[in-house]
Amino acid sequence: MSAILRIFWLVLMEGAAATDAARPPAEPPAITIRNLAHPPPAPAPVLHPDVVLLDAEGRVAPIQGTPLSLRKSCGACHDTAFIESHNYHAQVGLDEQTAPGHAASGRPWDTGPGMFGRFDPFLGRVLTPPGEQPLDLGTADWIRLYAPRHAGGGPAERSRYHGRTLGDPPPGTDDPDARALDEASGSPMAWDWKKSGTVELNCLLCHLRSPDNQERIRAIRRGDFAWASTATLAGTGWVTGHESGYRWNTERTGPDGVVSARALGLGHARSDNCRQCHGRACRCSDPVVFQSGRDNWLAEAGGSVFSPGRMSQSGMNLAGKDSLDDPWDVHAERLLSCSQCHHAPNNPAYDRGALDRPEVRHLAFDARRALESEYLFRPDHNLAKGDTAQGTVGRRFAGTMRDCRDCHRAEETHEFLPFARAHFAAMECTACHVPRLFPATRRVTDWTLPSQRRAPRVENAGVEGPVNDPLSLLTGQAPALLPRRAANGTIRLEPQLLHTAWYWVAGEPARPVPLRDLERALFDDAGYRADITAELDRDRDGTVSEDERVLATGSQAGAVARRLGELGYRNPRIVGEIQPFTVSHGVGHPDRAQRDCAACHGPAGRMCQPLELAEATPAGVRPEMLADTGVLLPGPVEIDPDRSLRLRPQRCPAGFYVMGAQRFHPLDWLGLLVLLGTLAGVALHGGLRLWLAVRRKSSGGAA
Amino acid sequence: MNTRAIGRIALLCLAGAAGCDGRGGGPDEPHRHVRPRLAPTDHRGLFAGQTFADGPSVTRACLKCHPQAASDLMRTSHWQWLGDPERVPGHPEPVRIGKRNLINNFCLSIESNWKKCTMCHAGYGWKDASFDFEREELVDCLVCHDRSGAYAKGEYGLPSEGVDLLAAARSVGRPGRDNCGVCHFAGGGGDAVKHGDLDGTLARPVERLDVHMGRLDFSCTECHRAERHAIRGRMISVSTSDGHNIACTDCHAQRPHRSQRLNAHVDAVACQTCHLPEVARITPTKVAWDWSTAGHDVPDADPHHYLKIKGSFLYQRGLVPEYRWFNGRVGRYLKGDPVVPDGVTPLNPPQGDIADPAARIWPFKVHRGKQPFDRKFNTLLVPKTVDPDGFWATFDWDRSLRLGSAASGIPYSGEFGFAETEMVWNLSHMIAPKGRALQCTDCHGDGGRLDFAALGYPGDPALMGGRKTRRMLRPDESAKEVRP
Amino acid sequence: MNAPLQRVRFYTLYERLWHWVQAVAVVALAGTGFYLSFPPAEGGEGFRLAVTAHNAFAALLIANAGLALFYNLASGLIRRYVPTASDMFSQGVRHARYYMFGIFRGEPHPFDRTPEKRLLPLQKVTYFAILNFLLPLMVVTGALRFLAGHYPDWSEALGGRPLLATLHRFGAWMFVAFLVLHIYMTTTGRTILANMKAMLTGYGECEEGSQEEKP
Repeated sequence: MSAILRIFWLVLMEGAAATDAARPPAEPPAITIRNLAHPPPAPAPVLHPDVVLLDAEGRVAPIQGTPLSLRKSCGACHDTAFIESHNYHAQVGLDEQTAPGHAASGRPWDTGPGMFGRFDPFLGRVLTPPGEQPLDLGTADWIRLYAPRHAGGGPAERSRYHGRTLGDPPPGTDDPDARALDEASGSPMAWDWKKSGTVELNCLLCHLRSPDNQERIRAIRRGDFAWASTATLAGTGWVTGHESGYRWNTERTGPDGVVSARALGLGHARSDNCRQCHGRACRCSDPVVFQSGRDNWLAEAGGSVFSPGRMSQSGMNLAGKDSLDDPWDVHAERLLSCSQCHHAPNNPAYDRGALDRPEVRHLAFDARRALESEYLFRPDHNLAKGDTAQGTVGRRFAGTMRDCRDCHRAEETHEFLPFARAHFAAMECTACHVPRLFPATRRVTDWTLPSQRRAPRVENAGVEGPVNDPLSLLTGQAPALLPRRAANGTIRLEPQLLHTAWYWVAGEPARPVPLRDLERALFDDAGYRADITAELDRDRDGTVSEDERVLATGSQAGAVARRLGELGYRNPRIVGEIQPFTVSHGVGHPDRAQRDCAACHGPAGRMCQPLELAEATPAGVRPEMLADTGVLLPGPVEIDPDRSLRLRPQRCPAGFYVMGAQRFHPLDWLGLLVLLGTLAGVALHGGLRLWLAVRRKSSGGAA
Repeated sequence: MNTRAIGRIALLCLAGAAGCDGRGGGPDEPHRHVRPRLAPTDHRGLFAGQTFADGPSVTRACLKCHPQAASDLMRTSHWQWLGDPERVPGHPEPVRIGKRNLINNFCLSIESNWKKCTMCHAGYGWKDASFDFEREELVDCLVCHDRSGAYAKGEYGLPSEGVDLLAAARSVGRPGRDNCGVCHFAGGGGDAVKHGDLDGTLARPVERLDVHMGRLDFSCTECHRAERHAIRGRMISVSTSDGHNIACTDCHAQRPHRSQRLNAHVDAVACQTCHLPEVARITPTKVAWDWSTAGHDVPDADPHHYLKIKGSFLYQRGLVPEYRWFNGRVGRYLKGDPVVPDGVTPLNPPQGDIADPAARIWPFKVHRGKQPFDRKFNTLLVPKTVDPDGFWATFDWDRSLRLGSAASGIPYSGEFGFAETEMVWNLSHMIAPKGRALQCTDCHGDGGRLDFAALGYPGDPALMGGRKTRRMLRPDESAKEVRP
Repeated sequence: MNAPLQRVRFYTLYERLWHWVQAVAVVALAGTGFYLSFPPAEGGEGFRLAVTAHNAFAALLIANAGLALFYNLASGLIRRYVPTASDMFSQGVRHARYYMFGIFRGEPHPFDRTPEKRLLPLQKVTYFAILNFLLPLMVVTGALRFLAGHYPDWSEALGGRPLLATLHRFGAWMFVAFLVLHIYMTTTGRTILANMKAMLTGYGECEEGSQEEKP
């Protein structure tokens, strides 16, 4: 009996022990305090009413599974037709088209002042003028190439020929609207507009909190133009799918397609929205890291980083970083967003018409203005803008933005500056307030000898080392101070970054040689053709290295020209052009502004120094300034013996007299001569008197 | 006429030199207000032939040459662990309060727990409530003045085993950061636990951690000046009034910024708010302590998450402060006060609000706790934790609370629970170099760290105007200005 | 001709004062002006100070010269400065010949200077040119540049800044040349330092009886 009990007892104990061992190690008890942190702030109220997502026919898109039409959806309350037609972001020069050669830029093949029609040397592709051969960019290819930079609408929707929607009626075979280049073969093919649809103006790009720009670009690049607006909602889960097509997430959109604006994230345009195309601009405090060549447009071309963060806390390798405590842009730090300077002209809060000096003498302030509701129904999207060399599209709107001195009282803060008003009249504020730029900017794009990956030879300013290597040192650069004729006719000195480009043109009138044909001329299956390699390979190692990839001599250029001639191009030649980019953002703290008179007034002055524009000049071709920039070069652009390109300022450019910077004038020599002559005469006369007097004394004196 | 021109030029030179070019604010010359350090007297050659058997014998030796030192110190809160009589909001009579008789939400109270708590008393042998606060030789001179680094205190504040008192006595000098830090860095039971802005990383800080102690090698006494051992400074965990305090403006100008815009913040925002972006930069600090989970055996528990003797914790590193209005005074929970039923009892709520002209927005470290309270009487209780009969040995709450109640005088009904409490510490150390101060976008705008609605603003003051522009200030009844 | 010399008061306190103030102003203007035209490459406060100093001394010079002009006009003493035909031709030639030949031979000065006739013929001619052409040129171009600094919209109408600058600089060279000549010419008096002493103390020497009766 006791044995049984003992066994029972053992089993019990074993069981208990087993369970003990089997029990996992105790987790520490969770903390039971309910309020562990300050409750998060209540979200800001959203006044925008709920929206219905409609397709182009006015049906509910998520239910029908059709592409979203913002024209219809937003158009329920806002005048989308007005917004699209009064919008240079959409039109990009479509409403300013001219015949080729009559464009303001002076290039014989340009047909407009904006992205649509003005050749962009950063990209190297030409929008082929109507009726011309060979085809480089047809309309469909233009839309696909410029997807990252164009907000839709304008030429992406409407034909430049007949003004109606693209593909309606079907274009003729010669119409560049109708054709695109096949990716593989490079030969023209017909573009099916019925299948692709058009790209409408994408309100969500600017007015959504988190638009999926990358998906939108992918959709357009694929040719799914009609789905571009829908794709913009992909990142936030309203829509899923990629190449196979987009599917609406009907659980989220609900049975009637009514969506709350708060859930969607609708609101006013924030700096983060502008940043998607215009480069680094953000209200966030993440450490700024930017890369060139990723459509950091504002930073790469104009050197602007509109970010509030301190440069010392960015993720960039800047020279002297520890001392760079001030922000990338002080206006961004001080809570200004892009749309507060670049506002809609009829925004009653910023309307310059009302706040400007009135045309009537008796009124200091006219309180009459449009209602907010009228403005919200029909906001004029020809946003206020400044006047820059590169702002060629919508030039009639140049200078509609408030100038620095429309907000700042410069007279009060510049008491230390002698003749302050003369300085203000002679220079843009940015000349002293952006003395140094830290982003690496593009200064040369040389298409004359592209690489096998169709990359041009690129030079960057302000960086030591490869441009996107995080370890390269950003040394910064001082922009050139050049006189520029503004839209209102005044000439002032402005900081400019000069970009020089070279490329091949051929024929009469000149047209750029399409890159595809240049490739055919240069490459065979193995790489550069043998004859080209022979010309370029200086160190005779059999390959063309990066250093050798430049058409240094006339004979090298001639080799390429011969090949182009073989392909049927008449009179192929290299052409160079200079595009200045006016620096308009990146203003730092006032401590960082230029205060040293000697920066301009002295022998080492900014205005007198020769400026290197390029390290190498292909085939000794001197570039010319484009005609629509307004910039007046203060001296000749010369090619130095080391083949680098330099701008040599001369005295008194465009009537600017900089005291202390100009050296000897011919009249100075005359004056000096007179002075020296007087000194000599005086010395001689006096010396003679003295000598004679002494002699007289020693000889006993004369009568 | 000659002299006039020269006079004008001279005037212009002076004006230029003084930096008068239209920027707001007067010149900030803090270095002029830093007191020069006196040369210390070398004690290394003294006490020849003497041996020191215990702490008081050292003190007697000190008093031979510094006869006033002990009596001076004994008037102050470092000795008394009480302040002068203060009016505490909600209590009619002025009371003397301090660490001696207050409840906090860390280790709760020293009453019944003197063995461990008085390790940080500037005296020897405070065993219980009967400690003689009038005996001069019980003052511990060495804890502050030992410069050998080899002096340590143990239970009851007595010198630790094996400490060479003679060497310590010979090493005395002006207190350094490590002297003050041996207690003030380790408040709450460990390094960095309590204050957030005071921890061991300040012993040898880099400039980026604290600009005064790092770049300028300030010791505590540079700011916390002492006249006859009355060290200036207040801590709102143990004191409610604002007297005898220190302020940034002791050295810095009231409006020291070159930017007028920044100077305009000075009336509503404390210096520390912008210049202390975060605390506990290197060593995490404790932000929550739940006593109610104590007592469970959890082997291999991370002591930063759970300890059987103490309960569950939450630590945080790189802590962003919480921001509240503060006019220099706090309310204080005193023994016997009621707790907030089913809510959070603030133990030292900062006084002041948006309408109070003496109040500014200050950064605070908030410590949230859950500690024993009496369900019947609705008051916080004090447990005895140390000694073989304390909670840390017995894990018996009821017994610990009874013993604690006897020592503290708080009645205990036998029914206990755990109430959530909150204590705040206003932050002033770990000041970042000015190049790392907060920027506009850190407070204003999307993702800013200030909850303007909670502070009483109708909207972001940068856009809608501050409390002055919006006429939100009460007329200033008292002329007393709070110093930042 | 060889009457004994007597000590006579040539220049009143005001005349000496305005002369030396003018001298200091001109020298300072020339100095600061030179600095402004040829500043050193290193920066610093020098340029800004030079601008302020140049403006200050210019104001001084204009005030001083203006007052002196008023004084001379009001008192009629301006007569002394006006060269006559004979000054420019017969007397002037005689004067010039002394400097070219006579002075080397140790001949006495052909003209006596008295407090009433204190300006020698060539002096009258030179000063006329300086005071009516060179000084106004400098003052006008300088003032116009100053105005252009404060009212830049008008600068175009004023000839453009490069032209004004060039004329101002050329005039500066001329002025400095004049200064050299003027200082040297003071050594051609009775003794080398006689004229300098006269302009400092006010007293010079002239022959007894050569002074005219005061009207």
